[in-house]
Amino acid sequence: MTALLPLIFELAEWLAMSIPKWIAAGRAKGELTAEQEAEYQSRQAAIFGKDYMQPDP
Amino acid sequence: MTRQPDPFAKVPPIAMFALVAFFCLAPVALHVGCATGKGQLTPSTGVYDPNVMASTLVVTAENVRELALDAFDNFARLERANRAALMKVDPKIHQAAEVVRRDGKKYLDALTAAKVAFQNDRSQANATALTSALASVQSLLRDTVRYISEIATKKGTP
Repeated sequence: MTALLPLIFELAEWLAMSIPKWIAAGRAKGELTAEQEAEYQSRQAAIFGKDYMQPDP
Repeated sequence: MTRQPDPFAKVPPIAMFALVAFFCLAPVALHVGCATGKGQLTPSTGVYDPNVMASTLVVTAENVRELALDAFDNFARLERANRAALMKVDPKIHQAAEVVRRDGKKYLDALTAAKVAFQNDRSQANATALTSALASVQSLLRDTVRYISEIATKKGTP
């Protein structure tokens, strides 16, 4: 199992580095509308308001 | 008073890593594929023109912001729910989660501010600022995954 760890490490790094490429290579999509932007902001506020998102005092 | 057995005590680090990595990377898989189409917003006027090509930079920023929010949410939730077990794996995982909790919103808000500024004035200077804000969010996202990977590698190496 430990022999696979370097591979997993590389895979995770590769996945993280590939995010922008995947986005750029995908399907067509316009910019968010004002309503969609408001929805995102509402969702972000809700997530960062959760108990588990509060840092240690 | 008897101590309850830790249900994660026998979970191998590699399995824990796989679980955490899944929650971090699942949003990535779900958001694969979003190039630019038509639709451009000018926030200052509220005008949305569906016939104008969208900016690749804006669409990329919006998608990275979305998947980063999901990744931060999943990572923080998992870490908080399994803090004791993950602290045994390595305290760094808690430190990484604290960075996300403390700075994640600031990074995302900075990205949104840069995006809106660029949408209102699509100048080279604003494009550069948006690219920089985007890189910061991507860096935090990469760091989160890298911390977890480093932990798994260190604990799993004999």
